[in-house]
Amino acid sequence: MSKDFVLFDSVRQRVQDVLASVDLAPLVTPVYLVRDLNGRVRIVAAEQEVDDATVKVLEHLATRLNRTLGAHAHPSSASVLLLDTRVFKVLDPSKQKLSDRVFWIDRLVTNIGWWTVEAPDLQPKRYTLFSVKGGVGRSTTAVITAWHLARQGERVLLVDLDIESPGLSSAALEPASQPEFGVVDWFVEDLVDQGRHVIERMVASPAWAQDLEGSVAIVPAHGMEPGEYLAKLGRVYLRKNTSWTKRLESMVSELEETWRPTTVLIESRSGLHDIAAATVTDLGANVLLFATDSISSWTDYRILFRHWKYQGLAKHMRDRLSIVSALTPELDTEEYLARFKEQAWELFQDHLYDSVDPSSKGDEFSFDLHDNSAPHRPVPIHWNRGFAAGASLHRIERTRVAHAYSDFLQFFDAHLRPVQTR
Amino acid sequence: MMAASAKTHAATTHPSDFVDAHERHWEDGNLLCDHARWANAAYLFGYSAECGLKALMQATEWMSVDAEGVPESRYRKHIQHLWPAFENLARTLEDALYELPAGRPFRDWSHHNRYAERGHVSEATVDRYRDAAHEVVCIVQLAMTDGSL
Repeated sequence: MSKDFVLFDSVRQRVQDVLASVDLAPLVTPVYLVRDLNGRVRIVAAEQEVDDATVKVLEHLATRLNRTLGAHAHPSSASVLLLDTRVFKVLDPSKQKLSDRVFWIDRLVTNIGWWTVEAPDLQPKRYTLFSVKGGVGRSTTAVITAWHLARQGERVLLVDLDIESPGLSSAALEPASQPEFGVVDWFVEDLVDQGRHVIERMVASPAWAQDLEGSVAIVPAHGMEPGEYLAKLGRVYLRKNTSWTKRLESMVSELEETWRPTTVLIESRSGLHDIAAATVTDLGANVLLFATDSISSWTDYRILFRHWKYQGLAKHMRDRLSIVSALTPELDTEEYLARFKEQAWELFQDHLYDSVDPSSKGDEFSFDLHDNSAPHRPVPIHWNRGFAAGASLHRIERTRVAHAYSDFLQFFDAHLRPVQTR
Repeated sequence: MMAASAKTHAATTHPSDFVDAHERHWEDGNLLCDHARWANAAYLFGYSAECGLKALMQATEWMSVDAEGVPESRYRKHIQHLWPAFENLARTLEDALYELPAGRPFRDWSHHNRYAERGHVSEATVDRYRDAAHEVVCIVQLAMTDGSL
C-alpha cells in the first residue's frame, strides 16, 4: 500500500489545507468542490460566470487537489467542470461553506425529485403575494415575512413587481440606502442586452436586517433616482425574441444566481392583469392570495378562478395557493373569519376542488369547509394601525408584528417553508 | 442488396459518442437559433435531447449498446418516443437520480421534417424544444458532477 494512499475521511481536511494555501482573491464567482457518487472531488463553477482570472485559479486549484487527494481526485483532464447555471438550482441546497467563495457539495444517492422551471419545489423557494385589490398590505407583509425568515437565518430576496404602484422599497429602505437601479431599469437595459450591467446594482439591504442571522435583499421597482420612469415603464412589457413572461423569469433567475437567496418573495401587481398573472402562474411560486371579505373582492377572485378552471390550469395551481384574510378587523374577529372561510370555501369548491364521487377512493383534491389543511382556510393578518398603508418600515417593532402577524407567520413556518429550512 | 447496404453503413458510420453528440447538437442548435434558423435548430434540439438521454441510459445501464455504440433495438428511438420511454424507466426506479419534467415537449418532433419546407416549425415550438433540450443538458451535467458520466 502506498504511503500516499488517501482515505475518504481525510479528504475534507486535505481540501481545507489546500484552500488555505491558494490565493482565492481573483475568484469572481462561487466555486464548488463537488464530491461525486464515487467519492471523487472535482471543481465546478457556472460557465456563464467565470472570467479568465477565475479559470487560472481553478486550474491551479485543480493541480493542487490532484496532488493531494490521490484516488479521491479526478484525473486532471476532468477535474474542472463548467456547468449551466440551472444545474446549481439542484446543487445549491446541499452546499456547505468552505471559504468566502468556495463551497462543498456531497452528491449522495438519494431519491431526488427532478425539477422543472415551473415546479413549486424549486430552490430557492418563491412566493408571490397577490391580491385582486390594492391596499391590503402585500408590501408590509412581504417586508415582515422577509424580516421573520432572516431572523431564522434565511437569505431572503424581495422583489417589487408592483411597478405601476411601487412603494415597497421606500417603505423599507432609508432614502440613502436605496440601490442605484430597480426592476424597470433591468427590463429596459435588457432590451439592448445590458441587463447584466444593472443586475448587481439593483439590490439593497434595509438597516434593520444588518444584525439578523440571515439577510434581506430588496429589489425595488426603481432606483434611488427614478429617472424617466414613465418612459421606461412604457417599454417594460416588450417581447424580446421571447415572451415577456420568459424575460421576467430570466430576471428573477439572474437575481437568484447573483444573490443566491434561500427564499424569494415577489410582490405582484394587484388586479386581474396579464402582468399579475405572470407572477402568479409562471414563476413556479407558491401564491398567497390576499383578500378581504367584500363582494368585489370575491367577485374578482371568481373571475380569476373560473379562468383557471376553464383553461385547464386549476390542477396546476390549486395546491400552491393559500388565501390570506388581510386587514382582519379587531372587532368580532371570529365571526368575520367564519364568514370569510365560507366565502373562500365556496370559491374553491366551485372552481378548483374536485367533485367527490361516493364510490371514490378518496384521492380527489377536495376539502370540507372546516378542514384546517385546506387551501381555502383563511390565514389571518390582523389589522394594526401601525401597519396602515404607507407606514414606514424603516424600523420593525416586534410587539406590533406579534399582534398583527403571529397567526400568519406561524402558518407560513408550518405549511409553506421547505422542510429542510425549517 | 441487404448485405451491400449493411456494408456501406459500416464503412461510413463512426461509433456513437452520445455525450459529445448531445453537446454539439445543443451548441449548434443555439447558434442556429441566434440567426432565427428555426427549422434546423428544432431538428438539432431533438437530436441533442435524444443523445443526452441515451448517454444517461447507457451510463446507468438502463440501455445496452453494441461495440459500435448502437443501442439495443427497443431503444432505437428518436426523441418523440424516447422521452416517454425515459420517463417510464425513471418512474419504475425508486432511486432514480435523473428524472425529466412532466409533459411531452417533443410530441410533435419528427426526424422526417428534415425534408419539410423551412416554415414548418414556429419560433414558439423551437422555444419549447430548446427548453426541453436544456432540461436534458442539465441532467447530463448533473450526472457528470455525480461521476455517472
